[in-house]
Amino acid sequence: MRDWIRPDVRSLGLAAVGLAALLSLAGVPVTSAQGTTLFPARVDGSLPVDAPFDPAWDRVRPVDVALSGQPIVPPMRLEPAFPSVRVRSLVNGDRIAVLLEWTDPTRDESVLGVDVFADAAAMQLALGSGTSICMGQRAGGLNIWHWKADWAADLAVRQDLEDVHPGLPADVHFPTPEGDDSFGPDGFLAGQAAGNPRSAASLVSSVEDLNAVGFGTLTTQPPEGQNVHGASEHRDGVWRVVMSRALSDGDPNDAVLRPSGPAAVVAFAVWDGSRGDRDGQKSVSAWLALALPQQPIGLLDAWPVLLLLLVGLGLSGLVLYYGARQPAVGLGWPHGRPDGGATG
Amino acid sequence: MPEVRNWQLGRSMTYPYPEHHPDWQFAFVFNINRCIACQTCSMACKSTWTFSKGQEAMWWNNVETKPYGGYPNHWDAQLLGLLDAAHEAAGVEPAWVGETADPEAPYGSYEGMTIFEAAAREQPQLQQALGYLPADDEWRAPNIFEDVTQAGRPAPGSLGLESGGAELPEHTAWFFYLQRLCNHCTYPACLAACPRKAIYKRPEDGVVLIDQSRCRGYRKCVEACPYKKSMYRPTTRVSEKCVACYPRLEGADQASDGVPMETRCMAACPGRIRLQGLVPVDPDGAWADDPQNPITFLVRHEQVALPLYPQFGTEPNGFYIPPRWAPRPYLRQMFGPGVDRAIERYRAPSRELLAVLQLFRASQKVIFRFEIEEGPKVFETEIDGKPWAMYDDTVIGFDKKGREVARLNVEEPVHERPAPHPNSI
Repeated sequence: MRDWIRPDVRSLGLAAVGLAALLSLAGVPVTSAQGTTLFPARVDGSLPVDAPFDPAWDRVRPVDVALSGQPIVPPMRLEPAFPSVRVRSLVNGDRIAVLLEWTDPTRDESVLGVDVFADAAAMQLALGSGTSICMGQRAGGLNIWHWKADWAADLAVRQDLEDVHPGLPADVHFPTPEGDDSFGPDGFLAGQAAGNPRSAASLVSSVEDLNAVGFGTLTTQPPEGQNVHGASEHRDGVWRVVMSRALSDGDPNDAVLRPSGPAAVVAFAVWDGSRGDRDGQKSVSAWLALALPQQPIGLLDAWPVLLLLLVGLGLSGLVLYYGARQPAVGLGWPHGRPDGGATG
Repeated sequence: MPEVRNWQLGRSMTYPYPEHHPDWQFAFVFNINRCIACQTCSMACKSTWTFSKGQEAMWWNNVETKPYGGYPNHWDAQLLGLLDAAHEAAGVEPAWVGETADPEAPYGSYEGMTIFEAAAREQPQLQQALGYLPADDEWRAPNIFEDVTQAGRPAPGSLGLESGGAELPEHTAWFFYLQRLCNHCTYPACLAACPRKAIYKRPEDGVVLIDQSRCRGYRKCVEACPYKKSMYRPTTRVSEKCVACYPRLEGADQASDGVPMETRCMAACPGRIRLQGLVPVDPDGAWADDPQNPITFLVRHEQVALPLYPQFGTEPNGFYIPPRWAPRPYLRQMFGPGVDRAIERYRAPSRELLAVLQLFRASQKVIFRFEIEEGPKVFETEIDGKPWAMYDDTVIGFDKKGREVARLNVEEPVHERPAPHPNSI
């Protein structure tokens, strides 16, 4: 029974997040990964990026990341929808995969109703040291991987009105005027015409790759920058979501994940669709470090050292060889005797 | 939170963003007394903007039958209930006090809380505006209670509503039609609530738009708009709203001749209940004193047209000439304390007002200025015990370029056919 400390802990947490927000507004960098560190487990071969319930995941000990509400900016959620999210991570030579797991009895993957919202989860990665946990700031942005249950369901076939209204008459379809190809059978789709990824007819991933530099700045990356792969499954009241990406992708908008580099700074968020969660109405974690294991060094990995060694050895050999064939130069007396007299 | 001036409340109020006003403001006046609920406006809008899949339940323009009709169902009663509960919790009386001589406070001062102030009173402030998100079924039947007359004679003290039901065929029920579209508010709640800043108010005409590329379908605007004129579209997963037919407003329509044209819903009105304009706005947000602008004249000089639910605090830019016959407490709740004066002036209109009322639907072009040429007295009577005379004046409307676009007489021309052919065509 630890209930008696909860209010204090919560207010302390709120105060900490509030302080962080204030510091961020004042331009003070508050990125730091104190407390929990995530250590991705190294595996040889391919990662189970498409199998959230693959046994390989269960061999990794999860880190239980505590979640709190979002009490900083409207729209808020004061109490977290879920107490925690369990995080596992796997990495191989060129890819990293992060598994988020949380208990959610309701599987919400439709957004076809006015008041219907989908489950979602996200990982934010700090870009640089001057960012803020609250959607980043100008001094330092965020790279956000945002998984959406509705996108996961839309991947195969985009959910449409017929799925929720089987009796929908077909005559809603507007006839296409002759020679005007701007209207499809569904009429004019303003969001799609404006290039909004939410309105796109087809998706490449259930995870959206985004950036943010403050509240209200969340911006999707261009199609060529959408390089986060997603896989998810809801089983026995538990969501498991895998988000994976190549370690080095060369995209300047993406967080750098280098095995030999410093630890990445990350935080997590989870949305519960059936409770109306969206945008700031979410359950969030504090910053964590994501420390990638060092690359194991094989003999061939050390080729620069070996090369230097070989060159050094070669040079030494040369010096020894020629040195043995010639009188010492510059080490003894100059030509002639020490008294300066000429020879001969 | 910044303080902004709301002239309809006669005071300042809190709003998430500081004041910044457009040069012109899209505005309209609807004469409820003339509407027959033919829904031509609704269909004109639908066939122009919301004919596609996912917009089946989307009516940017709708006409609902008050007191029971509403789209979405009971939108106003629901929000009034929320606002009442907030006032009760705060111990605040949502009263209007005192009419002032201040022309910038024509209805006195509202002492209650707006939807922004009610939301800000909650600490921590969870939302930007008090509101609710109507469910799917609430949007599906846009006028479901139109013909369900359950009201009896106006009963004093209870908004004129009776629980006893209709007493047909005596026709004792009262009702009126309320024509609604986006009010392109000065302080839009949809804009305030959008966490994406995807909603903006255009500097050139005050039209409020949702950026279709930035919207992420959070539906905070749908929840916050007190008039429920921001609507979610499931097929594109983002929200849409009335765009004030901006291509017509910009003079981009082929028929516009390069000057602003009225929107489709305005231009299609067979009942001639609608007059749409652009009102010049001063940098401080006050309407420029332009008594020859028909909208400014009707709203600010004659004060015969009133904002819809001004107490919500968004400073809506749609104005209504209230119906003469509906119970006054109900009308005061809906249009504020200016109702009695507005009806009094509409019942016995001034010579100028009667002329300007002829301009409704006189032209597709937006009328920026009117002039009146005086004509002879044609009729005399008594209204409310006072003498009243009608003059056959001529009203002339001018477009943005100052060209005449409308010329009408107060008295409609009558032609009596000669006796041999009384009924021939």
